[in-house]
Amino acid sequence: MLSKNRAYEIIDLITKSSRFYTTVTIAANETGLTRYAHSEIHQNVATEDAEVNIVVFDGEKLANVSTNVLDDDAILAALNSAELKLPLLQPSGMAFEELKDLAPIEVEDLDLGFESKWGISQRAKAVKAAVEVLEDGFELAGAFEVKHTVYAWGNSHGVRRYQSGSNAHVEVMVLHESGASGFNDCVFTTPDSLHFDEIVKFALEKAILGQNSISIEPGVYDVVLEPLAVNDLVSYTAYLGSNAKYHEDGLSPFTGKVGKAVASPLVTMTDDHTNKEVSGLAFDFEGYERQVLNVIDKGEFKGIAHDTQTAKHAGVSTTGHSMGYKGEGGIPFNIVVDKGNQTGSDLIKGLKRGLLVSRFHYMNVVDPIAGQLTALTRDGLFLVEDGKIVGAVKNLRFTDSIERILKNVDAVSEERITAPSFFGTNLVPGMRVKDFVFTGRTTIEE
Amino acid sequence: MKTEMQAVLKYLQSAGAEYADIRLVDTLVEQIETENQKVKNIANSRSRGVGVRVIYDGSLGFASSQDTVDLEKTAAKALEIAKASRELQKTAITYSKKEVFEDHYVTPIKIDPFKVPLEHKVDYLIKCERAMATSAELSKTEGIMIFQLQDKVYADSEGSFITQTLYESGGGIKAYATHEGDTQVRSYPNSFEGDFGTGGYEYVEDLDMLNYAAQISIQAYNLVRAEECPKGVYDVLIDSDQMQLQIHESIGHPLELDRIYGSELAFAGGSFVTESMVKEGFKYGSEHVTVVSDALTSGALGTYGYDDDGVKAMSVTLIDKGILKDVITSRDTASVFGSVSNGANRADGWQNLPIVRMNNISLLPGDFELFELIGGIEDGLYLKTNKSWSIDDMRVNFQFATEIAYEIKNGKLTGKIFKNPVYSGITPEFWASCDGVANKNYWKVFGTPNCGKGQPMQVAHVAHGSSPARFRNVKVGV
Repeated sequence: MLSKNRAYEIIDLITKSSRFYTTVTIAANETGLTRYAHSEIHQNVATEDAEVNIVVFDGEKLANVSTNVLDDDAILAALNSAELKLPLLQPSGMAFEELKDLAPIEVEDLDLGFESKWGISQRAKAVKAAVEVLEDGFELAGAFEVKHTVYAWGNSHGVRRYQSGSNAHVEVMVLHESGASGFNDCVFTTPDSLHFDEIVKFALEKAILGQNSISIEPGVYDVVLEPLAVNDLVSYTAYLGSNAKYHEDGLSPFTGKVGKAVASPLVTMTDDHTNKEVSGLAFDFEGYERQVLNVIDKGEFKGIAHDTQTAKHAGVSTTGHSMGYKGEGGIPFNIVVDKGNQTGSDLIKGLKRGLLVSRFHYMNVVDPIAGQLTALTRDGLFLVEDGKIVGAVKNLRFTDSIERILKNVDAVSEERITAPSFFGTNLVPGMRVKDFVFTGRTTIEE
Repeated sequence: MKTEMQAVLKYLQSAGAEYADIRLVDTLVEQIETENQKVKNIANSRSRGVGVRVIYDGSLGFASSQDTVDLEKTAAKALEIAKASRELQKTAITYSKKEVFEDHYVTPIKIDPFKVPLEHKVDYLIKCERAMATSAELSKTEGIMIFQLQDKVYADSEGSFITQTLYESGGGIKAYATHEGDTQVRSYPNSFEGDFGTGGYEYVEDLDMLNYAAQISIQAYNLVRAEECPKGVYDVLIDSDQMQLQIHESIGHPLELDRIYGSELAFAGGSFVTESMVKEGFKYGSEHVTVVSDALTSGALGTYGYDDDGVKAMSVTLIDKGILKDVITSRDTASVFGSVSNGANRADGWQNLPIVRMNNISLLPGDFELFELIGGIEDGLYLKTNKSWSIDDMRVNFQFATEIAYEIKNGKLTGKIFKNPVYSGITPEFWASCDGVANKNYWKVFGTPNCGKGQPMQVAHVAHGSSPARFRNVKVGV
């Protein structure tokens, strides 16, 4: 794994050799991933890589090069190619501030305990143990990944940022020969918090419940969205609703709605990398410290995530949510949703007649301005009557708007899970939502 | 390098490996983005590394590293992983037979895109943007070009040694118009990042973006002022630029044999297609639906010399006049199926294990003139350019949005356009409703450079050819 010393050596080599103001971003990772299907391992992989991104500035011109060939000659050749490009470039129309005199940010959470506890052999043994206790007719599929990452950032003025971290990501699907399935998807930031058998147990219960599913008509139903289903919704809400570039271009469903109600008062979501359960990156890819950003506060839209360019256009300061120097606005990717005061069981008990949604599949944006999303249910859709699950239902497609869904939230669970989002992890509860719009069925024979 | 690679293969065999291969991949990418007639980003990247795949006692191990000097270290890691995989291996992995090749394949190009001066490429995109901006009142314009050069060296323990130099080029432009709180976009030659193929800078020249800039600009201006697309059940004509994603999602993915066998179930999903449906000739669509997997299509983004199993590129018929005939395979999946690989096992870069990927999955042209297809629609819509997509995990229920719909009444285009069209369907029912495909004069291939699959997530470059096709009784609107 790339050490902090080596990362800083690379930054120094580049910035001291450059004739211009220059920033360097380094992203390195070591990943081991075990994939299984039909209760056996079918893919087992390990990879390591480290990439250096160099951005050289000359006024409004910037040249951007990346390489993963990390000997000094190759790094200097990359720098040279960036400098040679500058005279050929047109001004970008973007002026970037040179960061100076900032205290370093150094977060070192690299937990090598993951490797000793969940290395290649241990992952295989854990999956095997889970398979051995499954009854006939059930199979296991999924992926078990352990990842170590290093991010470093530096510039010509000696500003330095460094963060290392580790996590494990486990996906488990239990399938029954009838076609019923259950799923669980969790991210763990400490090796001891991962209990593979418990992850499997949750998915197994769903697969057992999911048998003998019936078909129902699409239409408007009250629903309980389990945390994995909420996670997809929250990820899109943050991505479309909070990105300053979408606001600038008039493409966000929350354009012009700062300070206005876009959700139920029960909904509060914050982009918070400091929360230990999400363990997010402390700085962005323009070198700025990431701010904790309140996106929705008790239903009211609050927070637009900026990079330096959208911030300049809006006449505010960057919130430290840049993904680079491309002027793409800010992207929040460690959303923490406040927990509610009901248990997951309470959410179901509160449904007179409705559906329990385990997760969604292939969520996508139909119309960004309307905030209209679509997705299919997957791995467990259940009919609830008088507060009890009465049977499994075949998958349905929903198409509905973010704002309408969030405004119809009438309860939030105490329990939350850490689940993967587009670029990071979110901490999300379950939610009960009234009048959720399902628009299609998924079975061929119907 | 050949000597070093073969030495490592010998080391793995001496350590007990039944099979091993090594891929060295070195990839250069240049991406140029402009927005509102200014350069937004110019990025050059290089990624070089090695991937080693090992079969030991019927179990698979794969390791990859950016270290291209100490190959044996990565090979030893792959062997260690293969041994650990035996812990939970019920069925030994076997590879179907293939020919042994020593060969070098190079994408035919006329103009090396990396030798075209940067300022020329930037100037061209700015000119396209200027043409859009001066043709209609727009809120934003964008342009993009992306070029890739990939050198691959492949060696396996069966004796193959294959080198490939693969060029890709492409780009696109977009016009955004805003009116009364709404924003609409028109793209050329396709949505998202445009259109891409294997080839040199001539591929971008052939797109002729400058000549289409004014057209999409005016369309965007009119579209944002247009009525919402009506809802109901309509006969629809779907243009090639939307057909490419329709084919991708509802034919390409469900016919990948690893999905059929459940290897992707926990992530991307499976397929409604079963092994018996293939062997018994399932009726996938109407007699107008003939679909090929063709890695030899000239200039298409999924065209190559050899896949990452070292299998020579080929063309196979997947659906013949509506009847399912074949599936997309790798050596390991073909072995289970009792056939030989049709050369569609590909990895994203050096980092990843090859998995079954589409190459160029295309709907063959029919016999119709476009006016005949339009003439057969009493009340319907002509849908163009993908805006959104979603399909369930078994590839049955799909929903697509397109950028624009043109009204068809009494067999003629009325000149009226609608915004925000959405249509949905059930895969085999939809393809059964196809009652005409335009002829070869209308046939176009579009490259899709962002097909995601696998864990860790891999991105494949694929393509789809089609002529505009007509479908009856399609649900429009949500």
